[in-house]
Amino acid sequence: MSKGFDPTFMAVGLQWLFAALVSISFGPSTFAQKTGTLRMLIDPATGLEFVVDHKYRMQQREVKLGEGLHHFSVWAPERRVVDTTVFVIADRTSDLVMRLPFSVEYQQYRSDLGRYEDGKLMRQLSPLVLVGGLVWTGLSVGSYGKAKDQLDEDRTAYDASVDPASINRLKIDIDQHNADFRKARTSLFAGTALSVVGAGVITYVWHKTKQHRKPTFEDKEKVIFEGLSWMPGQHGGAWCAGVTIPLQR
Amino acid sequence: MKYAQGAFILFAVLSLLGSCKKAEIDTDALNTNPFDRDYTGEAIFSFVAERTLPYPLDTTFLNFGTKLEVDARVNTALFPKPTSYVVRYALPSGDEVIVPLADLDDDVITMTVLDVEPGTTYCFFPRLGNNGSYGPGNTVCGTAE
Repeated sequence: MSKGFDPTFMAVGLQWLFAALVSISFGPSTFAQKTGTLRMLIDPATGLEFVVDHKYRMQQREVKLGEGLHHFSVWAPERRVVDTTVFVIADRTSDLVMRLPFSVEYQQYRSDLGRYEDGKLMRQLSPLVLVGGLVWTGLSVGSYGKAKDQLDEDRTAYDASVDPASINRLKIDIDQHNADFRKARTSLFAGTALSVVGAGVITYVWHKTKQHRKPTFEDKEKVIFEGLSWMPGQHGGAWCAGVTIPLQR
Repeated sequence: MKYAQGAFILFAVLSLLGSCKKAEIDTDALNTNPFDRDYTGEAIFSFVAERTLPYPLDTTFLNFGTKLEVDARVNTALFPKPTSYVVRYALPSGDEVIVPLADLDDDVITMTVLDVEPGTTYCFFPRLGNNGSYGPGNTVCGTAE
């Protein structure tokens, strides 16, 4: 058996050499990198955005990431930016359950808006008190005038009467007419008082709300969130767009 | 200036309140009509004259008693307007006499009481009436001679 060059041995050796080179060159990226799926079960359901590992801005509800610990900065309109870290397990689907709290600015905005709306409602409703008072006063003036006229007629009838029995009946009627007059007068006073109160309410409400302006919401958390993925470079930097790399496909 | 306006409004409201109170009629103070039973003004009946006269006790004209006639004038100037009226007065016996306007002479009514004692004062209480009801009156007295 010759001890010379064995082509078969050489072919097998080349195969092993090629396999070794491939393993050395691409091994860590093709065989060691495994991914897991993370589902974002986050309140609110709409408008959600997040930055993964301080670089990749994303919006989808499900992401595939390499196994390991990942940092998330999660934000939604009107909500605070929340930072958290999640360990993604390879070949598994995990849930990130979270509720983003409302931002301080948004809570303040809601409070200011509520105060503005209340003031607006008060400005609209306050004239009703005055209108009610004026209507009441107007009706009472009519009743008061009738009652007063009736008493004037009674007084004239008394002075002109020459019938003792009629005078006796008239005095009984006058007692009733006096009661009607007092009732009408009380109603007139109440209507007048309500009108005065209504005018006072209008003055007070308009004075208290004249400085009110409709508040506007400035989402400072959004500014903070958008600054998270700012990547400074030699020429000032650039905004980064987030992408998902489906490594297993 | 605002305080002055407020004070003026307050004054106006108080004036309104004051004027409203005056419009009521106090029935206790209604006593100025001479046909009102509660009349308290000037006397309606005023004494005019008195006479003590004999009168026959029977048809024989032999026995006589003594009667007192007191004339009183109805003060029609107190009436609110010209009107018919009647006068009713009570005798010392308790009986009542109604005198129609036709029996009055120049608004003078003559009230008579029989069997009087000389030196005794007799009082009548005539009352003014109209349309079947009677109002106030006042006392008129006479002394028998």
